[in-house]
Amino acid sequence: MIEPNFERFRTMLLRTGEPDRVPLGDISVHPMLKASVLGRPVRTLEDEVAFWSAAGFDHVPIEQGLQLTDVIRRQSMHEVEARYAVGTDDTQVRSWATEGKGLITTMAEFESVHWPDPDALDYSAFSRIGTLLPPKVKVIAVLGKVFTCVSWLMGLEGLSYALADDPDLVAAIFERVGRFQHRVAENMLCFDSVGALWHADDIAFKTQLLVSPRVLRTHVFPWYTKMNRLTHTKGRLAVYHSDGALQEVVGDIIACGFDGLNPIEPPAMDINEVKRQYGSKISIIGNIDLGYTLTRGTPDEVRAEVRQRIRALAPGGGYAVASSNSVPEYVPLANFNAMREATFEYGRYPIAP
Amino acid sequence: MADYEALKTAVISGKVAQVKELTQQALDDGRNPQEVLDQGLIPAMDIVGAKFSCHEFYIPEMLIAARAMQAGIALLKPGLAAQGGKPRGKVVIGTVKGDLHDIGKNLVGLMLQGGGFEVLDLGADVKPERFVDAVKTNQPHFIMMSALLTTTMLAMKDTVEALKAAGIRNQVKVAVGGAPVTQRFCDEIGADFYASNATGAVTKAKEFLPV
Repeated sequence: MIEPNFERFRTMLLRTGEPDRVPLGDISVHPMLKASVLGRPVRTLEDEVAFWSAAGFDHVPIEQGLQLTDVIRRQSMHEVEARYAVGTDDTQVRSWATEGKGLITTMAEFESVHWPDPDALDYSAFSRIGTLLPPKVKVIAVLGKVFTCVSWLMGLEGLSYALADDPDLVAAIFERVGRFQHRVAENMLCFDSVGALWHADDIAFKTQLLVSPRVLRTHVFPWYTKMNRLTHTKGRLAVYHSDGALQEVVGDIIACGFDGLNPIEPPAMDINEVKRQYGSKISIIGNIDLGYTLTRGTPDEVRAEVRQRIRALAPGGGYAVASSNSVPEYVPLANFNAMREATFEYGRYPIAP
Repeated sequence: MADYEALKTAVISGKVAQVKELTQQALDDGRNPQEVLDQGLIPAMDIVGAKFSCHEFYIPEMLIAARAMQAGIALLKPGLAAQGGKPRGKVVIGTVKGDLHDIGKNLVGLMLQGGGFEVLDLGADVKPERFVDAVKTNQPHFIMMSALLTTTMLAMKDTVEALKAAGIRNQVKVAVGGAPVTQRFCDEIGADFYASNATGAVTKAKEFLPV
């Protein structure tokens, strides 16, 4: 059993040398897998703490933000029930974002939205978890979603047309969403249990960015910069997550002040190239392939991939093992376990050649 | 005198009103609708595809150009239909069962239309049997399937198997794409080709069209 210790994760993010071990970096694991690892359903905050610690993570993630409010979850998403998981014939429900015409297409619709109050969101988990965490474990507060919330509210196609047809509306929505998420970040950072903020905000897909760097520099990156300044002022660290090919804006992401970049999705990004070009400026977390290895590969293949990544990327610090996106229900338990166990086996510093 | 350069520029920059005006002007000048399509709208979308491939254009620019192109095509349609003009090829597209991610599929559809193909869009969460029925009913040259998740992309294999079971696999080329899809997966399930983005799908469709 490896003692969870957020200092391990923090050292990795700060790149101030090698921690004792390569940390595990995922923040999203499906409840079915959590239950399998823990041996009971994960229903309470106590269960969450027990799972993340038992599974060998140095952190417990807690999410809050506009993305969890009714304006997004109930009015901008659709649910589909299908067989998504492996090893069962049961069906599961997944929420899917609106990609066509969204909730907001005009300034009148924007103004008629019932925007929640960021101060009225439920932060009780952040305070209550303080008494539940093992002594050296911290919370990773999951937030971000500036671009994502806007694209969910407008639909990605609706946002695309509005960029040409109604730029004032686009600016107004980004301003509203950015301000909201910034306030949530302020609130999260009031809790001593929080060790880092994790900005999960997909801006790219397999071959390129969803929108131009100009749009991101105008409407999105300034909010990241503001939130990261606040985070660092409070002595915490910040990780950025986006799927897809980010090559055009990795420099911008670093300039925004992020300490870590996740998930370096293959084949969209070559993690060795990211390490070579940017490894001295930002830590990297992820890249264990959800497209094949974790989902359709064998545990031996998972172990081999983890071992290879650790050998190539972990010496000197600045790397954490994680999936190339998240750990959904269609990752076999044996593969999830293989990823964790291989990290424990091969991830002790100094890294064996 | 039809100004195809101006028409192309208007499509590429997404100027719907200009595209309508220039298309109508070409028709009023007595130009053949097929010529306007072949020398104005299709080459414009080829340029849009090239700009997308070299990251000069992104999804918004592509959608805006496609919207302008469709405004032009709407004006050409009556004339094209009257002439009995045939599209370059016919394609059935859809996002597979269990999956609601459709912007990639929509982009492929738009770029195919811009490339002169007729597109029948089955939408999202499409079961294998609906693809089979669409092939039987419409005799397309291609079916193109999209998926976002590693778990939903397995429905592509089910669809290939359903086409085989229906005895119509050889009547249609099967193309696959989407975030988790790779050439390796395409080969594994016995699809005919894979493309990593919308412009690649159009290029491959042209290559695979029967001569």
